[in-house]
Amino acid sequence: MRLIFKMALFLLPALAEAQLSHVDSLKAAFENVTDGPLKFKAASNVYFYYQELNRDSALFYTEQQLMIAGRQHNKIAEGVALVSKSYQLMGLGRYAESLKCLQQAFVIAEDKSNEKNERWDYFLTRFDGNSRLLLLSYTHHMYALLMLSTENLEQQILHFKIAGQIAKEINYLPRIQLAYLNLGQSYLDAKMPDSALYFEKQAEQTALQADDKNFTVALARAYLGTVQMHMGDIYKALSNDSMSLNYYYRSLQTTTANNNRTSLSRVCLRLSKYYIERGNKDSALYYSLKNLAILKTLGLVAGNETNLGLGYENVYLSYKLNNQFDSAFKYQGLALVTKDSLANVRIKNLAEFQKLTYSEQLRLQNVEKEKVVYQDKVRTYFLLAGIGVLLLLAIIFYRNNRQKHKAKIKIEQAYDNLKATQQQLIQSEKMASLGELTAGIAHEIQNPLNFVNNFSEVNSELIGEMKDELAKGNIDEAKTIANDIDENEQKIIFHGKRADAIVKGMLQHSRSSSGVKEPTDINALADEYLRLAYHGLRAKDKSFNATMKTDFDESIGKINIIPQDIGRVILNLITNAFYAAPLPPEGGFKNPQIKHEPTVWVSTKKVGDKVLISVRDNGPGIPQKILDKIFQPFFTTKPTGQGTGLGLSLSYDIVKAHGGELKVETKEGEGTTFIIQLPVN
Amino acid sequence: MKILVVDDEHDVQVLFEQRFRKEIRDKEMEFVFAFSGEEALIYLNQNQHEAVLILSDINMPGMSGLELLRHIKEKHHEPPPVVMMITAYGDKENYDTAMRLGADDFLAKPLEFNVLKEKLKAIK
Repeated sequence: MRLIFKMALFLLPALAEAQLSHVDSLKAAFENVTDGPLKFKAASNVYFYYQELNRDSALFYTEQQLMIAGRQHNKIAEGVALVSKSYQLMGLGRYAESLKCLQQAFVIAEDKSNEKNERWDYFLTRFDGNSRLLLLSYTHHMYALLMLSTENLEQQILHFKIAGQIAKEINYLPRIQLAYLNLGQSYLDAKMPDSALYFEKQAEQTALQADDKNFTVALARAYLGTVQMHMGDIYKALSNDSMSLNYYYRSLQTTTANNNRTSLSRVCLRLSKYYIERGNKDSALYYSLKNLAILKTLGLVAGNETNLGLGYENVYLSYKLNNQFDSAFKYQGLALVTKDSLANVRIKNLAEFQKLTYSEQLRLQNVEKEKVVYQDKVRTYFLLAGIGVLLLLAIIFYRNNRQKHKAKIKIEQAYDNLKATQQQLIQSEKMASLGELTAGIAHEIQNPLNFVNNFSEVNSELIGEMKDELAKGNIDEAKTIANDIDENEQKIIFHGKRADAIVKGMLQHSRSSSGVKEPTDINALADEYLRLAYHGLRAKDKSFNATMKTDFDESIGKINIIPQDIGRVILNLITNAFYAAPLPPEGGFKNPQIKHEPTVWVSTKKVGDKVLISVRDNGPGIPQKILDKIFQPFFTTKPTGQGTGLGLSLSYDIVKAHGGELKVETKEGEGTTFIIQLPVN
Repeated sequence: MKILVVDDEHDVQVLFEQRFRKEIRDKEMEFVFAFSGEEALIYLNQNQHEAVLILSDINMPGMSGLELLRHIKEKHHEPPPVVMMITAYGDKENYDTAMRLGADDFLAKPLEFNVLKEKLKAIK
């Protein structure tokens, strides 16, 4: 990033005079004079000498001033010393400490009671007006410079203007000129070169008013060097290079004459950059080395323009331009190291300053009390706002939760309804298959009843006959009749049990599954349900007819199953088979001449540790596209109202629950075989 | 009088023999049994004009009683024998179908043998 050239120059009226004196005599005067206004004045003289020459020495003399002011209880003197100290700290990049000094100075300058202080000669230029206001102008100006150093354009313009305004009120020309001078630079930074030029010209004009009475000509010349440098900067910004260079040279002469080394350094920097850009080797090297020499006498400086790293860099660039690579390399290294360490220092300084400016801004909100009240208010508002937000959040969460809860209840209700409906459907499927059964059962039950009733009647007739024969003494005949009675009685018992079994079977089927596995003769079960299914269908549909063929593996024995559940599966498969067997395949029978004989085969077979129960029909087969759907609940090919679509689904679940498999093999036009595969144990 | 009884229940034979023991003993009636429609047709084809009365169950595996009835009434057998249908399903639909196909009578299970005897005697 290109560095912004904006380190302000703060020049005090004493500079030229101080330069004229010999520093040793000034120091001697300071040492010898008695404590009081004169010693303060002597300290000021030495300070002003070092002000732009050596910051550490300058800083030492501001400390001396502070001690004198403290001992003598002169607040204005203390304020002036604090502002001077802040300038030196600022020059060393110690912005936070600089700001602290200014804060103290502001407190002193704003306190009117300090006007009662004994009048001292605070500045080298004689001033008979309000010293406190002069201090206030001085402090605002310094604060503006600090804002400039820390890159706060808005604040610097504001405070330069305030400083200039106060200086005008008390008619102190040196401060008016400095305000204009710096405002010019600030407007240049704000990219308003026309305004900048206006203020620099004002500064120049003010300098022309110098009449040695309250603004010495020598001092005016010292400021002039800086004004000229700023003019050079403005013309550079206006792309007028010849004017720019002209002013830089004028500034070089003026600052050299007045021994303003800070400004001299900055002018040299500008000139070296100017020549590096234009490839003028000798001039570039000359000014960059001169700049470096001055910077070294100023001490380690972390400003953004009076910066040792920047000085090294320009020297490096100049040597490179001169093809003196050894030296270039040396200074490149120095530039990197110094810039890096100075950048770190500057970042640290700025960070500390930022912390402090925050509290300074709070201070500027005015009195401590108001601040506390304000903070309390703010805290209260924040607290209230926080509570409000929390309440809002709570309400939102509560509503959310309620809605979720409601939704949950709704979902649960829907789920319960669904479950209930499902249960109803399962029950209706049971009932549907029961309905299919009932007709068969009715028939099946009437047959045994027929025998029970009639054999009973026959028996009572036979008993009458037997009695007659006995009365006649025909013992043999009576015995024959008795044998018949016995035979009939066996029939009665047999058919009574048969009816009982049918009724029990019906009940078992309609009942929910007992869920208890018991050893079951799978062949008998299959046969029973085959007959029931057949008769059921025949009862419903008189025209229904199909051939039944069975092939039972008698070696199976009993297997452990829940009989009513597996019975239900067998019944379902057989009913389906009877339904499918008479149906023509898609597109009709291939040869209408050959009569289609609907047939259902039921067979059992033991294979290893498994029992297979197959139900086969010679119906049209199941189309491939619906084959994967047949075990899905509610899938049916029957017309609406005739099938629940649960038969195969339930069958599948029942077989699975037995640890078995329900498989289907089908071939379109030839038929379908369902195979129940159950484990033997 | 020769009566052909058709039913898939084998015990029907014992029952009829017991119920009509007097008639059988007195040679008033002679019973022949077939346990399916097919079997009945075979018997009828082999023994033309022997059976004057056929008692048939309706619900049987294979050929049903109604199919047998249609066979008897539509084909062969001149003069057609008397056919009485016996069924566990005494509903109107069954009855109507049987009558439409030319059944001479319709009886419901369990059989009232006294009623049956009356009817048989009336035919004789």
